[in-house]
Amino acid sequence: MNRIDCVIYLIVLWGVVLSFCPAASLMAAKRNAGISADGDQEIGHHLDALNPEAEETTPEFQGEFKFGGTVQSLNNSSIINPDNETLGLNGSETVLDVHAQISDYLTGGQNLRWVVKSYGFSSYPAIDNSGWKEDFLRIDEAFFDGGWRNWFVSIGKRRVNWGTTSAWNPLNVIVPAKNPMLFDPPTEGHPLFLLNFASDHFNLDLIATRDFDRNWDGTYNRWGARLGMLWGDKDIGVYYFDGEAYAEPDVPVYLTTPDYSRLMGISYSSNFFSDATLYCELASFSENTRYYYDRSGNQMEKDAPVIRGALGSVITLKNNASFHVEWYYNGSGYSLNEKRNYYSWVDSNLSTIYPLAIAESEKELLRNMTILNYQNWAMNKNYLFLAYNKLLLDRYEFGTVLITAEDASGMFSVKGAYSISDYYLLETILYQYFGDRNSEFGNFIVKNSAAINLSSSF
Amino acid sequence: MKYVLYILVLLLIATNLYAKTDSKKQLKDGNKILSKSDDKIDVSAALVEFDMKVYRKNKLQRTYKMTAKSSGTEKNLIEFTHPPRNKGEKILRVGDNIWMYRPKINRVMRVSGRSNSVGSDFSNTDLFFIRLDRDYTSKLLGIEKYNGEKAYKLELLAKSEDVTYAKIIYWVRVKDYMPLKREHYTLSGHKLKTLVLETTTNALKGIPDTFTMTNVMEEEKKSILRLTHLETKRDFPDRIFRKDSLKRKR
Repeated sequence: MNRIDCVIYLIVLWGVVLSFCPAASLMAAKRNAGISADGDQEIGHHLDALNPEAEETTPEFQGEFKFGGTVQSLNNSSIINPDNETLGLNGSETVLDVHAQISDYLTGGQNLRWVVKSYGFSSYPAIDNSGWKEDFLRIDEAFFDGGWRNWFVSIGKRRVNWGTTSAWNPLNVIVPAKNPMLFDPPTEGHPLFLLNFASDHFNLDLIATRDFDRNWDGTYNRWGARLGMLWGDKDIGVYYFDGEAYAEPDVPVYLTTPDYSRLMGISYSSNFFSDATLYCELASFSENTRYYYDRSGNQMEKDAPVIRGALGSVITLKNNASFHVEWYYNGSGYSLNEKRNYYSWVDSNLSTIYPLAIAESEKELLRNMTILNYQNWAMNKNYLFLAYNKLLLDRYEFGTVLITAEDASGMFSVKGAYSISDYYLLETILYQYFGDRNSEFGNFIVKNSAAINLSSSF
Repeated sequence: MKYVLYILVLLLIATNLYAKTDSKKQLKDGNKILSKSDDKIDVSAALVEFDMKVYRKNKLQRTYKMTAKSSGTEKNLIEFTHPPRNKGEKILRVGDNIWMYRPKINRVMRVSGRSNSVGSDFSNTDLFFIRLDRDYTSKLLGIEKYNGEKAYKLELLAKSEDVTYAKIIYWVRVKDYMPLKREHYTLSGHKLKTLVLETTTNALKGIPDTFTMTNVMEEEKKSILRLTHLETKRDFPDRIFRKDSLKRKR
C-alpha cells in the first residue's frame, strides 16, 4: 500500500470512529421509541428515531467478509499449461476477501458526500511449491459527489459502469474488467470527473478520466459522453469514448480490452411482455490490434476496427425461478484456423524451452513471453450464456450457468447457497471446463474446481 | 298469435337492454368503489417504512426492512435497509419501467414487474402499492358478508396483458370502502395468491397496516408486510426518481 492509500485509510478509520458515536445515540433513541432488542418495532409508536431525514445524516459503514477454500484439478491436457509446468498453480488454497465502505454527508442539505470503498484480498495456498502467495489491500473507490437540482458532479477515484447487459458488457470501457470472460468486477476505479445533467426523459454524462497507476501517476487521458433516453418503456443510450489507449498495469497494451482510440456505441433495454426484459449493447471500436500466426509459425499483426455486441433476456418463471440467456458477438475473435495455428506454435515453442539448460527463472520468462504474446481469452467470435436460478425453501438458492463458445468449448457451473441468517451466507460452487486441445476453454488452466465460501455482511 | 310474437320480441329486447344497462351500472359502480378503496391506501406522495417477513412451512425465514418514497401515481423508489446483505439495494418504478440497483456489483438492471421481490410472495409491483384503478376495470359482483361485515365483491379485469395479475376478486367494506381481501388470478384463470389487508392499529389513521400475501399454488408459504411508519403529503425532488440517481444516495 502506498502513502496516498495510507492517508485514505486513516480517513476511513476516522470515519468509522465517528460513525460509532451517532450509532450509539441512534440505538438509545430506538430504545426510547419502544423498539425491541431484535429490531422489531411496535406499531403505534411514532418512530422519529427512524425517520430517514435524521438517519441519513449519520455516517454509513457497511461491508462484507468472505472466507473460503478452493480445490482445483489442473488441466493436464492444456497446450498452454502442460502438466502445470508453466504457471505453477496450487491444488488448493484458502482465500479471505474483505469489502468495506464508509460514506457521509458534508452538508446539512445532504447534497455533498464523500465515499470510500476498500477491498482486501489474501490468498494462502495449501500446497505451495513455488512460494506463490497473493495478498493486497487497496482503495477501490474514493470520491466526492454532489447534486443541485438537475445537475450532479462526481470527482475522485471511481468505478463507472456503462451499458445495460448482464453477462458480457462491451460498452463498459471506462473501468473495464481485465478479462471479459470473468464476470466479477475485480478492477479498481480510475481517477475521474463526471458531470451529469438529468431530466425525466433525458440524461447526459460528460466524463474525463485518466488511467490509474499505483503511484497515482497516470499518463493517459480519456474522455467520453453518454446520452440516455427513456421513451415509454424503452431505455436507449448513445455512447462516445475517446482518448489515449492504455494498458492495465503489467499487461501488454495489445492484450487489454481498451486497446482502441475511439468507441461509439448504443444500448437498449425494454420490457418484453410482463415477465421478461430484453436488452442489448453494440460497441464499435475504431481499432484493435491483435497478433496471430500463420502455418509456419510467423507472428503477424492485425489492426482493424471491430464491433462487439451482446443481446439478452431475463425471463421470470413461476415459483421464484428465473432464466437468463445472452449472446455475445466478439468482433476481434479468431478464426478456427488462426486458433489452431496459435496452439500449434505454442506447443512447439514450449517444447523447445523445457529442455534448455538455463536457469528456471529464465525459462519462466520465456514461457510467459510465449503465452502472453497472444490473447488467450475472448478468442472466439460467438458465445452463449445460459443461466437458471431458483430459490428453494427461501433459505436455499440453486443456480447453474453454462457458457459455450463457437469452438464447442465452454464452462459449466453449479452453485448452491444457504442463508444461515440475515448476516451469514454459506455457498458452494463447482466449475467444470470442457473443450478439445485447440479450443479456448479446452486450454483453460483449470479443468474443474470446487469452492466453498462463508460470507458475513455487516 | 301475431301480437303474442310482437310482445315476446319486445320483451326480449327490453330484457336485453335492461341487462346491458345493468352491466354498465355494475361497471360504473365497480369503478367508483375501486377508486374510493384506492383512496384509502393512497401512498402517491408519501414516505412509507415497512418490514416484510417471509414464512415457509409456517416458520419465519427472512425479515426485510425497506423505505419507500413516491411521487404521484407513476414514480416509486424502494430502498432496502435490512438485512445487511441487501442494504442499499433499490427498486425504482417509473410508469411501466422497473429497475433494480445492486450496489455490490454497481449495476442497474431492468427487471420485470411480475418477478417476486427478493423471493417473497409479493411481486415487485405489489410493493409499490400502485392504484388498482390505473390498471384494472372493476365490476360489482354483489354484496357479501366478510368477517361479519357487509362487503362489496368486485371483479377486476386487467386493462392490458402486461399487468402482473390478469384478474383480481376484491372485497371492500361497504361502510367505509376499506379494502379487505384480494384474490389474484392468472390469465388462464388459476388462483395464484390471496392478499388479506388488516388494520391492527390506529397509529396510521386507520388505514390497513398489515398485508398478508398467501401463495395458493404452494402450501405453507406466505409473506407479511407491515407498515411501520407513514408520512403523507411528502414532496420529494424529481431527481431521486431517475435511473441515473439510483447509484447515488438520494
